[in-house]
Amino acid sequence: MSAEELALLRAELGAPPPESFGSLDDTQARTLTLALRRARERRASGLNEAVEDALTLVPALTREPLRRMLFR
Amino acid sequence: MDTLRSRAEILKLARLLDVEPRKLAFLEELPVEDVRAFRERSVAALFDGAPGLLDRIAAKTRLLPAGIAAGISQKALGPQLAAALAGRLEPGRAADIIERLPPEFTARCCHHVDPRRIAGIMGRLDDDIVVRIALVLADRRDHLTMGRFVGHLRDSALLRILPRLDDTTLLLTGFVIDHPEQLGRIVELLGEERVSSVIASAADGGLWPEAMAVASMSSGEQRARIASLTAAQPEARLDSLVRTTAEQNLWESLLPIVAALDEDELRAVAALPSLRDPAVLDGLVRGVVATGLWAEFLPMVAALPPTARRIVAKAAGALSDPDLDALAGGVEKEDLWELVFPLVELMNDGARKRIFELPAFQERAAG
Repeated sequence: MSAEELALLRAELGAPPPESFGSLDDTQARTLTLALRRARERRASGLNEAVEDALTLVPALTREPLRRMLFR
Repeated sequence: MDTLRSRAEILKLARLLDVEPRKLAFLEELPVEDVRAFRERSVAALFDGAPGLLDRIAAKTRLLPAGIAAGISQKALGPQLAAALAGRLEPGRAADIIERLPPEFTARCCHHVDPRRIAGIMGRLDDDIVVRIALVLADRRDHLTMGRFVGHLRDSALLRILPRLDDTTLLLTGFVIDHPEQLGRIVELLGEERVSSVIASAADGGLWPEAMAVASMSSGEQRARIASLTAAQPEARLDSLVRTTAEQNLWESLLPIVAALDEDELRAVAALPSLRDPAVLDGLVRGVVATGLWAEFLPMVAALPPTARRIVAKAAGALSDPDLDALAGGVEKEDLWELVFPLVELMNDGARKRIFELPAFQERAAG
């Protein structure tokens, strides 16, 4: 794994990967980096969507009070 | 064993990252402990970086009665947000809310919960709730999530859950258990009759690798009991175990289980038709060279019928010099020469000469 790919993986992981991961090639390292990044993005957008979905489940009149109470 | 543990670890990481397991197959080449450490760091990266929004909701939720918070969780937050929130609450508070939720909803949340918070929450839940959630997870065939939770369940809950799970569910959940040190307790609760049934189902359902992984993760005494119960299966089932092992090169998983058998059981296994197949025996010898499991392998060779022993001798005699050297090194290390000599006698002159010239053998002869 090149130093550049290692730095990207480390940044996405927020910690150094285990030492043996240094034996992965750049393509494999990139697979992990992208998978982590996408998982994080999906998780964040999933939570935002869940907030919006949540608000559609309650009666329209109570939506804004609930949004203020829980989400702001 | 590492091959199977690696497969299980890759399944868990793939689920966490929501990618196809085959895309992470390259991780099978790395030590399984490192793949597990990478997964744990990934959990921290994904769950610790949650938005401040969760903390704000969690703070507000603390002000609400548990019943109202449960109602809001189910009707307004949905499974993902509710699970994320559970990870932000004190475990006792999370358990209070979960107990007021329908098990179907909680089961949908389970997959999204921060794995590090599971023990604290499970320990506070009433058995009735735990049993109902487990059965919903089983119905959903969510074995990975069950594998995360099962090690945290009390005996009293397990005794109610285990009889209601089918054998396949037990095997697939055991394969991915997050706390394998708890397997012994679970196998004990299952009892011998049920373990026999699970073994039979592994044979009939093409789940031998999963069964071997469970046996390998069990403690020594229990592994021996599982090995005995396996050896007591009909010949056709045992033959399918050997064939599966050969096809997937899982000798490193099977040999320690075989090594736990007593002499009579070992003779029954050694007489299997599959262990007279030169291709199977050749793969077995190569598997032992690769894993160094000589102490597990050689007693089995001694129990093989003469024809099969000659095939093993031929396969061993055809090993490359470095592999033959590894054989001698392994035998020397474990002091297994007494078991090797009968095998050497069955080799042709060329192979015997190569063995005698090995430094390890020379040292042995000199000593």
